[in-house]
Amino acid sequence: MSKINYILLWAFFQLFLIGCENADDLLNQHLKDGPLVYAGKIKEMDAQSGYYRVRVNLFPTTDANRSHCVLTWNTQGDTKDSMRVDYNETNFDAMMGGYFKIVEFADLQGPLEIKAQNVDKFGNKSLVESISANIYGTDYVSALVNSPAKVSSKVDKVTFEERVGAVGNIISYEKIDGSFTPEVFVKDKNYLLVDAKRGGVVRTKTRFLINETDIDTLDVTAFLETRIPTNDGIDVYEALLQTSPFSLDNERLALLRQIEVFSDSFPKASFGQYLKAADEASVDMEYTTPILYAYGRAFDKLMDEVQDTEVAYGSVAVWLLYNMGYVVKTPSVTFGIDVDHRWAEKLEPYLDFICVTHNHVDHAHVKLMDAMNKKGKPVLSNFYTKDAKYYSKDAKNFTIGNIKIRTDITDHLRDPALPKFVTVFRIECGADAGNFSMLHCGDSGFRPTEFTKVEGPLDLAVLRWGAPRENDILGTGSGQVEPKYAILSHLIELRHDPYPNGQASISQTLKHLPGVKCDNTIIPFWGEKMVWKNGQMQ
Amino acid sequence: MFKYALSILLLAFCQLSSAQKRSFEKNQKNYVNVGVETIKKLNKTSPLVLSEERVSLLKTIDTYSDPYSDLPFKEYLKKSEDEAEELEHKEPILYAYRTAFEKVLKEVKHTKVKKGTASVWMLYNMGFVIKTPSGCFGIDVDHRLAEQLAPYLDFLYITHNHGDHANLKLMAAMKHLNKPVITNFDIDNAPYFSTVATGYKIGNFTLQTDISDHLRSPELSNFVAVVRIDCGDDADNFSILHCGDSGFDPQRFKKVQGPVDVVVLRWGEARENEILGAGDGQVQTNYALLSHLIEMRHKPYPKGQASITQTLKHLPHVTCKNTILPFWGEMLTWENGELK
Repeated sequence: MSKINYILLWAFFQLFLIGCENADDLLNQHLKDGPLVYAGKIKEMDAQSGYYRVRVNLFPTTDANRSHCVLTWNTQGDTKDSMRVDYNETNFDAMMGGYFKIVEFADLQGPLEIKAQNVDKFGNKSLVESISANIYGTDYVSALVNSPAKVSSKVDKVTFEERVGAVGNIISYEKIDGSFTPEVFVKDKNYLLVDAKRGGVVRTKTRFLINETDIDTLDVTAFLETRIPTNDGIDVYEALLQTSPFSLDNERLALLRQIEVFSDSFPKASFGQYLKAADEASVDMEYTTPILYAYGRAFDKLMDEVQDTEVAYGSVAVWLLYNMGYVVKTPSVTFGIDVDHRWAEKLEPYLDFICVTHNHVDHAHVKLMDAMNKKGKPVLSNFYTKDAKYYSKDAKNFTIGNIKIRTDITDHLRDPALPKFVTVFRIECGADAGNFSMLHCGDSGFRPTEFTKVEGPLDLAVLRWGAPRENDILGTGSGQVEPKYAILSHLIELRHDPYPNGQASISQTLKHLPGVKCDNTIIPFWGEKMVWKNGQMQ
Repeated sequence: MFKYALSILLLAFCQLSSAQKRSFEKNQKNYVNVGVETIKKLNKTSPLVLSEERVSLLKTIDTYSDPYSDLPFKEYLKKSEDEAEELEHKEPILYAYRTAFEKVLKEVKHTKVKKGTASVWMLYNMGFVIKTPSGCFGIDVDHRLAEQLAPYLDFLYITHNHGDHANLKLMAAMKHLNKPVITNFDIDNAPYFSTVATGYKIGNFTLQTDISDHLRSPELSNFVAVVRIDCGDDADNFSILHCGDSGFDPQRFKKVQGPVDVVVLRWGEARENEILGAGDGQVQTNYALLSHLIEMRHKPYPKGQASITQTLKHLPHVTCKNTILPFWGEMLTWENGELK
């Protein structure tokens, strides 16, 4: 046993000698050039993306000897590129509390690994740190989508749809003179347009900030072109207003016929939808649909003029609103007859009373009637029982202020199913209105036997559309009237199908006109005003 | 007598069918276009059978797309209707693009979907239209003529705000018809806008989204809303998961995990397998559809596009029993637990 112990001890001793020798060699090997020293490493680093560039942020550990950092990356394949970032004030971002460098890449885009290694004053290098950076380029930008832009129907503003990441839009639009406005960057959701050309183009480009840390915003490559809505009705209607209902010249005829084309192409169902739509939607339709432009604008014009017109003593202003709806203003009173319109109830504050010939929707506007009644203003009719004082199914006389009113009761367009359905109103406006008198026939059958209570000479007769039987009440016999002026109306009432399926078309009314037994027969259009003065209508 | 009556009826039917052919197809005979024959042959093959013939035809189509990708395609999209149609008659890849739309539109309009089944059309890129007995919807539908589909879709889902997935005209047309357009980027469009995982119910359809990055880009960490849509009883509870351009990170699929009938992957590259399985954030499915093929706004592979050739290389490695590569315009039917 002791012999074995001796051998083992001897073996261990030999191994010890060998090991010590190897340890010496190893140590000498490491120590031959001096001790291995690393520079202070980069404690933290990150990258902020940009368009063909990246901002690298460096947060080195504390090292009194630090000099600079070397950033390296692969360009293509194994080809490397690098950049030195000196640890000096120039490259120090005090707010961030670290050093930074913006590295530009002419051709690189997409993900990129960037390595960073610190170097100290003695040339010692730190351990390598790396980050993944993303470079935006044309490939990325080409996938971006512009935010849709909506041009208001009044062509007075553009509204941008909001998109996640979008910080605004660049916009330029076509003006009436054909030129484009300079491109501007807009952060707001809405942008006002001035003199934008209907039918022209709005060009927009959305600007994105994909991440809040990005150093560049990105603009969508191509402009989005949005057409500015057109409305042919605007030019036509405005041109018509420059003509006179008292002069049926070629220009006026052409414009009236164009308006008829607009009306014929607008289905009555669409008119129904317009009437029921929310206010904003209805206004939109007025600016985008030609015939509705005329319809809406006529109301705006009438509203403004009824308020602003000062009627001289001895004269009267008469407006046609729509269909057989009229507003008449004397120096002392303003009243309406058969006023019907989408916005009719807005007229209530300016009317002293209204007459309604019969209970059909294109003559009787319930909201207006109720608004008038609520304010205690007379609503004369043969069906609106809420105003008991001015309700009568029989011929009756009324006096309201200076105004004297006589009525008679007729059938509706000679329909045996509707006898005694229509009240015709003869209105004498009094001395301050030059004793102006008018007769409104509504949709009566124009039988003289039913006009006996309103017969006699008068200044103005509001006929329907001048059909031959309407002449039956014109004359000096019993139940006839002798007007100085006759107005033809009920033009293109949009709830009816186009002529010959219901509507009184403009063309047909023009054909009737020469046959009307009144030397001064006129066809005013929606919104037009006529003034009675010194025994004449002008 | 009966034979004569039958002949007349058949003749009348043929006339009627021919009259109903849209004018694009009728006018094609005035043009010479090698793509016509290729597409005709492709339409006779099935996306469920990857025969040599089908592979060869698909690779041919791949070559058609290369010269038209990126700028020429973007120029084509800006052209007037007449100019664009002229190009569609003449250029093979644009012919394929146009006829795919015509086919999908026609079939979506006229296909009567039997109870317990669902029809799935691949339109272009990652755009799909799904029709069940009670409804019809689109996911990432993009095409030059996409807005024509609006009257036939009950809702539209868009995974993210990139031009090859979000078609502005279709979105506008759907909104004009007051139909839901569900996104994670259209801020004004509440209640169909959300940037977090959300559930929606539209008719018989139940939607569940989860938010993912875009192709694992850290800059686009919450850019894509993947969606799982369950189509309801009348479609035999058919379910589909559409991954958009997601990064396929299971951590971002937890709200849509679990068994699903069909998964729409991207082009089947390796990382897309990470969401296939029984683990957390993974889905179990017997059918995977590969897509995003030759999207022509991108430069040809390897500079952006998912080429058909490369997708075919990925296909065998997709860890799903039935991995299918449908092409533009092709229809698949879900019936009795199988895609046909």
